[in-house]
Amino acid sequence: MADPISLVPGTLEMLVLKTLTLQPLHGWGIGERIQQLSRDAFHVNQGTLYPVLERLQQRGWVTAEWRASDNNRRSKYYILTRAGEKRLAAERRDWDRSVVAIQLILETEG
Amino acid sequence: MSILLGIRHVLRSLVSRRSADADTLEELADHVERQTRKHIAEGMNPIDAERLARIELGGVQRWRDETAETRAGALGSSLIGDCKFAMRTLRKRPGFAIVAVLSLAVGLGAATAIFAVIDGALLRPLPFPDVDRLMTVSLRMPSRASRSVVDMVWSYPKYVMFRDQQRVFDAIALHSVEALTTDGTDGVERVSGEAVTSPYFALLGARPVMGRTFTTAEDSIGGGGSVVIVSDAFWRAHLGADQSAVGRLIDVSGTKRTIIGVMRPGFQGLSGDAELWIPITGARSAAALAQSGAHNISMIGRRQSGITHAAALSAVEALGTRIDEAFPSDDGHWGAGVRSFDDVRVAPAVQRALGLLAAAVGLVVAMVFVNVLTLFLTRGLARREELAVRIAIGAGRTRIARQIVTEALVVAAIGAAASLVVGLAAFRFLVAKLPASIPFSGVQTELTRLSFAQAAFGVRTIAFAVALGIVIGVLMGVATALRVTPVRLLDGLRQTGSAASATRGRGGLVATQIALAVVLLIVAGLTIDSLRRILAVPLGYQPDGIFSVRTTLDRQQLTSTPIVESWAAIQREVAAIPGVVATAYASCAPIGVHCDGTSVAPLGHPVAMHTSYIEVSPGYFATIRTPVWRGREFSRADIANDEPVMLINREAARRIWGSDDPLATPADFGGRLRRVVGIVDDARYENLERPVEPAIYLPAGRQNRGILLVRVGSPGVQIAPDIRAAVRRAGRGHAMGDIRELTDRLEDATARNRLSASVVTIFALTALLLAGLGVYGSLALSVVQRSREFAIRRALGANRSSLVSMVLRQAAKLAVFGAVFGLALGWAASRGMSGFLYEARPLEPTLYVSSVLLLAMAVVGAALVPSLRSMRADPRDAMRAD
Repeated sequence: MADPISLVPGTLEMLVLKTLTLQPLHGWGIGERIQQLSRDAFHVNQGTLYPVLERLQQRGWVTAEWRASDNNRRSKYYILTRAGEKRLAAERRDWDRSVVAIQLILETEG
Repeated sequence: MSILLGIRHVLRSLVSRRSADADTLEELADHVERQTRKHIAEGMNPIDAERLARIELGGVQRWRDETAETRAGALGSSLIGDCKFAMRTLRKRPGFAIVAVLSLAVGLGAATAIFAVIDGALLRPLPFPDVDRLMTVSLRMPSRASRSVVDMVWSYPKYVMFRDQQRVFDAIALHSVEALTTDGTDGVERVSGEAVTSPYFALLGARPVMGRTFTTAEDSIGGGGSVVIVSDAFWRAHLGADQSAVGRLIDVSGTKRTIIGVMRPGFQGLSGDAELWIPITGARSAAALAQSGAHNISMIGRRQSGITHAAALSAVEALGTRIDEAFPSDDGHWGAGVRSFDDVRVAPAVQRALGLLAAAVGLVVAMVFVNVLTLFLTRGLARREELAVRIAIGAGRTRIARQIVTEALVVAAIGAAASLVVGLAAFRFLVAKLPASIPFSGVQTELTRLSFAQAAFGVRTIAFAVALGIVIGVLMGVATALRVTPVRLLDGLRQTGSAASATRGRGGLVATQIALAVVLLIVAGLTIDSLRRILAVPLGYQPDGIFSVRTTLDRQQLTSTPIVESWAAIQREVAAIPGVVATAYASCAPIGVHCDGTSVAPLGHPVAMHTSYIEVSPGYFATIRTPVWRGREFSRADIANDEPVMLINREAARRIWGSDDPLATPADFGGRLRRVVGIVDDARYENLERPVEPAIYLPAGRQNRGILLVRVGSPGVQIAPDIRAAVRRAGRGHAMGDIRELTDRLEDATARNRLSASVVTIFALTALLLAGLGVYGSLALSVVQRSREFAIRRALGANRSSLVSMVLRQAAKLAVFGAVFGLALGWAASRGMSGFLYEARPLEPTLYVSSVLLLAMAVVGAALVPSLRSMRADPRDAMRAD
């Protein structure tokens, strides 16, 4: 297994929103899912995850609610809102353009 | 949109059953547990797994703080968020918050209570329009005694000249307080009234609700004999609120007068308690009004709007010179002057006292401020490192400054709220100690009394406390923010360097506080000492067990009975009441009254000297128990035969007769040579503070008004109704005022001194408490800050007692600096105060010693807890702190 690399700065919000498109998740689950989806390339710093979730809530892109989870516990699940979906779409667009642009630069000969 | 969502999010966390904090904690616990399980599944042992999970989270505490700050930030400029955050920070150091709030509560509480009392008594404006243009116009009389001029009221001829020639007033009016009577349902009653000229009502903005006010025809001499205007209260109480009252005839001091008007509710004239108004011309005989030397009517004027105070004064002074030329006097040159009516109302002595009070309030507020500022600065400096870290990780400076200011405001708000509770208690205490009103000058009218009846702990008081709280909060916050927010990050991180200077600055502030407390203690000591001296002043009579009542004889009876007989009949009836041991009457009796003055020249003395003048009945001195020093009291025969006799007091013997033997040296009085038949002890009639004046006593029996004095065998017996009934038996038409015990009047006479003593004591105790809190707060914080140092010292072998004594030494140093500074200031303050304290002795050494001792005790007491806490320093902490 390759060593984990750090997240591209500024992308954590987008990645969190993306993980929530499939289903509502709790904080720990979001971190795990990002790690899993990136095939262990990204390890999310758990200390920064929660402030990001707080910020996403404030902006109205996600909401949270307490739900019963496995073995009779309560966990706080984050749910993507309609505004969050729009936001994700917009971020994706920007991201795709950036990636294309970066590739163009890197592939320039000389 | 997103702002709305943000607000909704915050509101939800505010209203949710569990606090956001608990919410966060549970979420974190959940996270840690899941992470731990994952690590265990990967083969870790449970303990290490959990520890690793926590480390990965980055420390629960830091995370919570950050969330809290994000939440606070989410509110943008919303105060609630900042306040919540401030509350959270304060709760981490409850000791600090408690000391700060206590300081504010105690200090602002005292200031608020005093404000409530003064506001009720004085600060309210007079109930007249254009008060700033109302002026008291007075004559200025040359005074031989004081070698200066004194303000004097007017005689009618001088008034006429002034009225006809002045050009600076819209209107002027004469007014004088008149003791009137009216024939009520229960015999004749005394009623307060005023004799005035016609412009009086318009000048004071008072309109009648029925009828009219006086006409100029009624102003002319001889024209005002048959009319009267009544107050709303009189109309209700005596006329049954009769809608057709105007035109009715009522009895006023034995004369039938037609009611021509009923004044609006609440108007009681300049005397503040008038019920009836009659024209001056109907109150004085034409002969009396013709005398230019009969100065007995006050004048008030309303300055024209274009004329300044200075212009009015110089015009009046010029006119005064012309009046002096028209009515020359043997005594020297008279003049005239004006003063703003509002100034006259508050006597200069009161103004000085109020100035002192304001200074004391200011001092206490300053102490509170210093106290709380010290606490904030110390704590702020302790947090510099933390703040620097927060700035380093991206928190804005403004944001941090705002938080500090908010914290200060939250503390100030809680303190101000608590101060209202303390203030209300102190206010109740003060009001309970106060009579309804306090006389502030020799001549008592309602407007020259400080009335505390209206004193209330109301909206204005609360506004005052809140305003003080806000000002202190803002100043404190801004000062702390400026001092504490690191300018460069490294300054904040390299914190240890500034600690020494911070300690020194704090020490200076605390020492200042101690000094202020010493000053207030000295001032309080002086005031209490002065009160003690006043209460110990020899009165020259025995007040307990004496009832006094102002009595006016029935005019109808006097047509058939001589005045002396009427008085004698009253005395007989009163003496028959069981328990009464003596009775007498006089034209003037103690205390708090201004007796008439005159001048007298013993035979062979070229200059007549000023003396007060009292007519007394036989047995008067026996009744009030003023010792007769030499000779005898008046006898019934003296009065019956109209003997040319007089008594004098010892002061008159000393000052006026000098080396001549009074009993052998008759004096010219009123054109008649009178023998001095006795010398009586000096007695205080007017007040207790001023030295006794010379007095001469003449036999009573010519005046239909006087003060009836009744001594009972055992003080405390309530015989007022019996006295009233006895006087009525002697004549249904005799009018009586309130029956009061002399001890009551004495209380009135010392009320001002007792008030200042209690007020100053409250301040001194407050100051002492504040100084104690300041020392405590400062030392406690410094002990906490130095806990690492203490721990190291302990580790290096210092024993506990040496640590305690180190802290105590620190306190002692503060106390010594403060005390020395305070003694110097206190000495200066007490010299300044001695001018208006009775026999104040500013250099009394016991005062200084006891003040310092009291303070030393407070400082040691305050230092004890923190110093004992220093013992708890654990050498192991040396490694752990920070």
